[in-house]
Amino acid sequence: MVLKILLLFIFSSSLFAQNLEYLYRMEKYEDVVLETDGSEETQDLEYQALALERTGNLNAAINIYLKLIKKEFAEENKIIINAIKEKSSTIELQTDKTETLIYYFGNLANLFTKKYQSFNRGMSKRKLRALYKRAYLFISILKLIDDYGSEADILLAKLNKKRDEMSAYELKSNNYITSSIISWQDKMNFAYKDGRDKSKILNTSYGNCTGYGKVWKSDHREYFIDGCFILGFSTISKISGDLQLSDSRVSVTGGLFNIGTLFSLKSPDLAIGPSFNILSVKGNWDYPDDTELSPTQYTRYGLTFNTKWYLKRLAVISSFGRIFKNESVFFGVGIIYNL
Amino acid sequence: MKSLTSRDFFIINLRTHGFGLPLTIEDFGRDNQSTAYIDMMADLNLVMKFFSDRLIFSGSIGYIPTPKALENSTDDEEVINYISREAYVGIRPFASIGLYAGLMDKVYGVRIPEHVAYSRSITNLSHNDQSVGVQIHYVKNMFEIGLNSFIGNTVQDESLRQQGNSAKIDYLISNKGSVGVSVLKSKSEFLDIYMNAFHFKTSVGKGTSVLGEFGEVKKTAVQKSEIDTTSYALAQANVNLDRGIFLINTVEYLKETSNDFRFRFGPGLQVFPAQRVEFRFDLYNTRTFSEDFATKDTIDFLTQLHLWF
Repeated sequence: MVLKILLLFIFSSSLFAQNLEYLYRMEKYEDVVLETDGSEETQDLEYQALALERTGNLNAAINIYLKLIKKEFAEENKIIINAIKEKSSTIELQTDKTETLIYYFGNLANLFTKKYQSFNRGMSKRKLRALYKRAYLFISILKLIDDYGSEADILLAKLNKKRDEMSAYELKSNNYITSSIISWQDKMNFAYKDGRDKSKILNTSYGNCTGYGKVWKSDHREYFIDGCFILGFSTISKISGDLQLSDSRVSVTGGLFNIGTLFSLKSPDLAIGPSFNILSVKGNWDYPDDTELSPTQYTRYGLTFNTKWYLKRLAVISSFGRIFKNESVFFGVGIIYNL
Repeated sequence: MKSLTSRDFFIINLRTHGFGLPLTIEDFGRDNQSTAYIDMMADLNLVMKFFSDRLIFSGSIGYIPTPKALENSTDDEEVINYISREAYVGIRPFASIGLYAGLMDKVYGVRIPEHVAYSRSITNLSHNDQSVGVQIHYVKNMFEIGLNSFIGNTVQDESLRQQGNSAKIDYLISNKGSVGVSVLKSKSEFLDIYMNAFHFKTSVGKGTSVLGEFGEVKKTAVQKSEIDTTSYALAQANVNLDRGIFLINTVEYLKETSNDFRFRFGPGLQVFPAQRVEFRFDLYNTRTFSEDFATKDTIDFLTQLHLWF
């Protein structure tokens, strides 16, 4: 009787295993999971883990392999943990099922790498770092227990490639000093105080703008904010009509504030993009007592298109655009130095 | 040298370049805006290469428009509308050395297609300034050296032909870029020219580059012995925005003998909608900084069409 029951059990488990293999090969992964649900048999759990991985349920698959290691290789697991803690480069395992152990840890390393690879830019940096550490840990274990180690190297390469890709999108902040030659043009109102005549007068200004800024930069995009003090010169002239005035190299002071974003399309070393600007200037022009000139001081807003070319810590910048209500264009050429 | 093969014989390149530069808008967006269609140049160029590019013949027939000043002229002065911009033979006995003789561009500075650039106009190296001469081109390891001896363009009056020598040395600082210097000295019956420049070219990622040239030109009127010194600078970024679309950002500076100087900004777009077809759209804003006057900016909008066959 006992023999009959034993034969029936062996026969049925063999049939059951064959059935699982058949379902798995037919890619009926959900059926495999249903069939093995609640089972504690090693072979069932192995099939279940494989099917879960195929259905994208990586966490559940990981838990099964961890469970299998605890169940089948409790002693070896302790030895491995100690070896990793002591940063040992060799390990001696007391098991004749090394192949199975490598299989379990290999799958764990693979699953954690896959999980890390599936992360996108919206994930928190803390979670990403933690997952990288876990994936790295299981790859290290695989390297330790598998003398050939080729799969570990492939997984590590995949893991680091993804890490570099993520790092390229990570915004890193940096302070910088900036110095540019800038130029703008505007028209001023020039009139007799008694109102008998009035005219527009053209003003061309240029000067140096030196200041400080902060940039948040990844390999693909950057956001920046900076401000600088303007020390410059202005030339105004109107030499036609009754009302004439000419005054050159007049001292102009002021400030320029920029906030913008730049995009790097093909290389992180060259970025282009728009910025919003506030220009505030004040000049000390000479004009006859019976006339008035305005505005001699103003704050205006603008939009510029910028190009930035990084040469390690130094960058060459150019801006070209409009300060609204001003005449013609605003432009600047200069350098920044990343601190 | 290899014997002639049928494969060599049929390496013939036929192209037109700069076929019409049709639209120039001066004072773009202003009340006094003026629009002109100017055919700046049109060239039909034939290049034949033999013995695996060791023997090269190149020749072109080009159109040169009548200068505006002469368009309504009643003078009997003959206006030449067709010239050759290239007619030379080159041999490269070894990969590292080439010898060229005939009519060609002078060896100097960074060669960019914008012939309105100060680095080409102020140096007399523009689209109609080729000269008859001999050139040696030597490339070895990190160096590229060009030497040129020229006797002027035979289309010109003999008294106006600039005769002299030029040299250019480029040093490859990495596989991404080079720095170099150029020098040119020439003279005619009326004018001595000496100029030198520092230049660089660098690639910044796929399809994107930055180049620059900083130079000085001294022109001495022989009879007056007065030296006019002009400084110029050019920086140009060429950014690949998308497949076949490039943003060109040019900044130029020019300072002539007086204390006045000019800045020119030229954002532009270069589009290749199909093979062998190129459109260029350029906006040039030129600002003059004068000690005495505030002058209105000059704003030009240029479109160009280039076809290669």
